[in-house]
Amino acid sequence: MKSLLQAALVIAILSAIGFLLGPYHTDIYRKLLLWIALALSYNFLFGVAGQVAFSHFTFYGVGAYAIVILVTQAGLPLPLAATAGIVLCVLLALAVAIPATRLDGFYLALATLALAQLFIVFLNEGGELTGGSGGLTSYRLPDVGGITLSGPRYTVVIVLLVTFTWILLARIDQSWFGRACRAVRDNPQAAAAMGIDVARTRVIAYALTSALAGLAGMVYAFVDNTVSPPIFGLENAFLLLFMVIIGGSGSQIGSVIGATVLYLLPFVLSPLIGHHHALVFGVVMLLVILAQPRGLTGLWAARPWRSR
Amino acid sequence: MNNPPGTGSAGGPLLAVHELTRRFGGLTAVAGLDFDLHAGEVLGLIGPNGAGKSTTFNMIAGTLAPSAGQILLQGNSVGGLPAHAMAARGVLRTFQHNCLFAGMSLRDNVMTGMHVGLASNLLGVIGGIARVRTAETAARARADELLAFVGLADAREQDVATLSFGQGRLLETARALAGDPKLILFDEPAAGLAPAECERLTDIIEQIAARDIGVLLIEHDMRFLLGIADRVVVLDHGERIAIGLPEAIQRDPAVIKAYLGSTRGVPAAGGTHA
Repeated sequence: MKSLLQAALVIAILSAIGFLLGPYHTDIYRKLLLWIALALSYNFLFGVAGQVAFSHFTFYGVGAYAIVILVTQAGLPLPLAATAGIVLCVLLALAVAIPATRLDGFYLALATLALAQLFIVFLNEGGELTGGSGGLTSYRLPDVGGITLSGPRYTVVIVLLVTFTWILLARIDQSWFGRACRAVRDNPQAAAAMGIDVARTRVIAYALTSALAGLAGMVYAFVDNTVSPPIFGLENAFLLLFMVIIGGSGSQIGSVIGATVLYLLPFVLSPLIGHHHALVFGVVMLLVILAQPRGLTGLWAARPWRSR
Repeated sequence: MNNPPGTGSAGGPLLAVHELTRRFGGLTAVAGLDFDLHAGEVLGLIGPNGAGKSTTFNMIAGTLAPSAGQILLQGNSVGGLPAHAMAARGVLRTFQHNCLFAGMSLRDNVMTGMHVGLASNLLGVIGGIARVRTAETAARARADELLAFVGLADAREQDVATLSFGQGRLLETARALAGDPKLILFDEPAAGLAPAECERLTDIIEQIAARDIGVLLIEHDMRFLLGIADRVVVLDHGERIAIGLPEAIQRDPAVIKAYLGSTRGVPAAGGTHA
């Protein structure tokens, strides 16, 4: 009950912010929330389950393109299109993870890099289906139950996505499955000796987090009402990795902090030093890794002025 | 110590190994090994370096598949099953070099050992249903009990990085017990322990056997092993050269011969763990 109230309060506050912002800040706010949702699920994959995968943005893209294609080209009703999009993400995730997790973790990194590159090629060469390099534009979200979800109301949808992602992952992380994932990350041999099916645990963690990325992608598709290949490239996949590392991998609050800091940093730095903000970004990244491998949340946990 | 050899609680042996063989290329590490182990019995497996102890251990733990022969657990063939499937059938183990889950509390380490009993439908976890929450609360209480059993109750919320090597060994024991074992395999449990810690571990292993759990230990420390084992199997060059009571093993000419020239001799008859 208490946690439900907390969730309701968070949803109310985050939604209220959406109603106060002008169009420019609404756009920043929505994208920040989407980055947070992605960082949360990537944190579970990379930080908790210890899988180095570069396909998270690919699944974001699969979700986004799938819902647009299914709604506009196949003419499916929205709920059906959303379900089909999730199923597609899970199937694709299984197709990647089942062969890759049988091998060393290094091969998952390679396989997912290949998948990410292939996806961009597919988007660019997809003809009518994907709209090629220009992507898909000029579509809009169908009304849901007679309600037009636009403006601040669509921001509420994004808030619900973030809260759902947080609650789902927090519950899983604190369950037997979260412990199994951490055990597999730390010591697969000892995990197996505890009765944990290592390959199965890895595949489930990969499919689950990829499906969450796909879900976030579906929500993203109706933020700008346009989807195009550059958004789903490797650059953003690496940025996501940095967000999780800087915030403190394995920590949900760390992912929120990491995503917030790294997404907002260019907005703060660009007016001051122009494109040199990338340099500042690189230096900050290096300092964090060298000084505190557990990221900003690790810095907080190790604060010297803490009373013991 | 507890049950005399040959008297399992359910009639037949808990574990039976028949003609167990493992070859690595041209080398036969274990050749046609036979022994059985009853519930509540402590069986020691010893031998000089390279005798095939670890290979035997790993086949029973499921980390190595046998080349030939059978492993029967309560009459069911389990040879060649992977490690996680052996654990699910009640064969749990500890590691010679502690394999704890870093960055987890002691309690979470022990709760990880309850994986098989706790694993349920993930949708129930996501939905936060009552049954999942009750099971989690019960598991937490059980983990605290097990930590108290091995004497680590006060440290239950600490990170495992704070433990000494000996405490780590005790935590591994509690974690193996968490899996509701029928059989526990100890891989050189006395290695690296101070005498007082050895004594504590001996006491714990005896209490485990008293709960009708089978215990198989491979060990270099003969004094420790002879003080705790009900029966001993001696391996040399992959073959069983002796089996029997600890007192008889120490006087067996074949055993003495196998150990001659080895750095660890057989202690004098009657030598028990200090």
